[in-house]
Amino acid sequence: MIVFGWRQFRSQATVGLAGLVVVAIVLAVTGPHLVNVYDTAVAACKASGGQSSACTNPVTATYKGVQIAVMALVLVVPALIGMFWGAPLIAHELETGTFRLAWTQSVSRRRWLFVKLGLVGLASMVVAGALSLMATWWASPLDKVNQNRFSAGSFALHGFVPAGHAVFAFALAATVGLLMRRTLPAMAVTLAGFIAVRLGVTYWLRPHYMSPVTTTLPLTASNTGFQLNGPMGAPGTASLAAQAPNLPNALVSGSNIVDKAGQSPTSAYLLHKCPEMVSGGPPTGTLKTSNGGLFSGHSAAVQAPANVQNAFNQCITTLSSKYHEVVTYQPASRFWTFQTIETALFVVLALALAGGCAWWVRHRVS
Amino acid sequence: MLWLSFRQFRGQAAVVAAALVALAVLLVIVGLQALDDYHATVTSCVTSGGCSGAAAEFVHRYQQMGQWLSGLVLVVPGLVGIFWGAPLLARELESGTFRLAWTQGVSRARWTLCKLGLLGLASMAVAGLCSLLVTWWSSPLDLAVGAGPFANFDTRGIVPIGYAAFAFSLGVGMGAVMRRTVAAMGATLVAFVGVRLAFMQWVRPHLMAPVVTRLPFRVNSLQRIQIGSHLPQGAWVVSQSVVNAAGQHISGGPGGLLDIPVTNVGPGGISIPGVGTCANIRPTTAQLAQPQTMTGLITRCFNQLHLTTVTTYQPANRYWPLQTYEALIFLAAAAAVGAFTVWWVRRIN
Repeated sequence: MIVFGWRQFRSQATVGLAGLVVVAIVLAVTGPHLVNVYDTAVAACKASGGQSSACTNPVTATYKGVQIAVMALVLVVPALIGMFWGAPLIAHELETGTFRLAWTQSVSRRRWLFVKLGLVGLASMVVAGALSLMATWWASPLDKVNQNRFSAGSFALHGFVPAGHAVFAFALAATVGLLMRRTLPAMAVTLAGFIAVRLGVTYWLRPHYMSPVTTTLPLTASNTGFQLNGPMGAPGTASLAAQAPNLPNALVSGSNIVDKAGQSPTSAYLLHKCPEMVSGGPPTGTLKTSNGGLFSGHSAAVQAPANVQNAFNQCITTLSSKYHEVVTYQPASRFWTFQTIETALFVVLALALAGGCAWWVRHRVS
Repeated sequence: MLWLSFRQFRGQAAVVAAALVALAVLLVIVGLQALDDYHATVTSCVTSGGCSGAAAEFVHRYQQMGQWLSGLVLVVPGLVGIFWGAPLLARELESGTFRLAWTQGVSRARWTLCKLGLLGLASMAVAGLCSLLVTWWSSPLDLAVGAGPFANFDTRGIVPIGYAAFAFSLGVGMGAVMRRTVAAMGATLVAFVGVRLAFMQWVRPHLMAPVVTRLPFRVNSLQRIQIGSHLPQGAWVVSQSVVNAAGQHISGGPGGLLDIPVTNVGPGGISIPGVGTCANIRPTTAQLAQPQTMTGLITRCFNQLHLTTVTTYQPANRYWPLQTYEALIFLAAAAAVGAFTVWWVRRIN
């Protein structure tokens, strides 16, 4: 049965392996140069005492095309494995009727299913994992510069977590194929379902794998933004926005300004404590203060005039006796723990789906 | 025959039509809100000042959704090619239903043309509507971002129609040749992505001969050398480089021009490898020990070597001509692949 399963899978496996080899060659050829550019830039930056333009990270501009291609590939490969390996696996046999022949041989239905799922499922993990680990190695100079590998966008492009995504996509596709009994709709449903699960896990589940660390910072003019919304000339509503400190490779889930009881300042309180901000500040929009603090927390803001700046500094000094900034985050040291947790989560989901398939094949498909 | 094609296609058409209607409703609701917002903040700030802040605020609010929508327009042609194109003939050939279809009163060529035409038009309509909706929705956002029309060339305007027609036609052709649905879908995906990338990289910049400008290259401070460009707004810069008086390209170190090692700084003059020599600038021993003074002298040397910034670009007013050319080329490619498919189907035994 294993030999038979392999023979059915042979051509797909060849395509996957060939793709992997091509990627490996491209990465092996370009990788050492990337490391070299990084090392040269770091050395040049150090030699110039931090003054050279080498300090502005030339690595991120090297092989821009390959960078985008590699990231896109690691991102889509699990979905492609699901669609092209998983969806037709059972659906095609049901659609064409070949399952009747397969199930009347000496191999039990369950064994037939387990061999198919196990063999191709393992292959999915190997292909996605190998691709991701190669990409992780290749992009390591970039990660040293960007320091964002824990962020929502790049966590799933690193380490072994794509192997978990791939085996889940595969099991999902096989299950959908078994239930729908038609290859094409199963492929489409798999694509939509997989994207939905990945987004849900990324934004709602991942930040809660472990209870986050909180750190308390005093309120200063450089980490706080003051925002005033309302029609021109009227006081409107005021709010404070906290800017998260620079935590390299950490997953920051929130930064809030609260008092000892955990309450954020109300608009009325702010307008009462900082009246100059209302009279001197802009009616709407954002202003940037000279020491880097932003009135609403993004970089393209305009420079504040001196009177607004002074009023703002005074306002923050007044508020800082009562309020402080609380940053909630997952520290960089948890990166590999999170990789393990997420991989395990998706592998368990995949196993559950495989179990569901086994039950369905035994009891429902006739 | 048209009727049969439509009936075979009904299910897929219904799913996509429903998705399009949902998208349209969502976009019109959010889009009208965004337009209101835009007029309230970005347009009105022209009178009160502080526009860049208001624009940044607006971009911050809508950027995420804008990226998702651009992503959608980017993938729709590929999905159309995979899910509508590839199975169209491959399924009939794979399951053997073509034997029944071809022995009716309709000729094979007509059967293929009918299917190609009907679904091809549907593909173009879907991609066109998606692009139209997203182009309309994103117009205030694109203005507020201010990166020029070429920043989102692939996901706006009429090119998605050409992409969808080509992807669909390619899918049908792959299906006819490979006779297996799933394999044809995979091959269509790879081929379509390959063609799109190659076109973007090698063909699009040369659809119209780019404008070349040569401006004197001045260095103000060695800390940050920016390649100075006074380009018309919204232009698409195809390439930019600095050449020396002899017309040779100057390539910098990892950090750009700044990291060219300045050798032979001494009483004999300053010589910058690959750039040139300033024999008249002869630092004294005392000056050599002062980094500030040396920076000034090297800057002077750079500026007296008559370096030129050579920029090739497509000006913003070529956006629609380039869109038209690219869309027409992909439509022509779609027609060619379609003709090949009809020819191929006629000689299948």
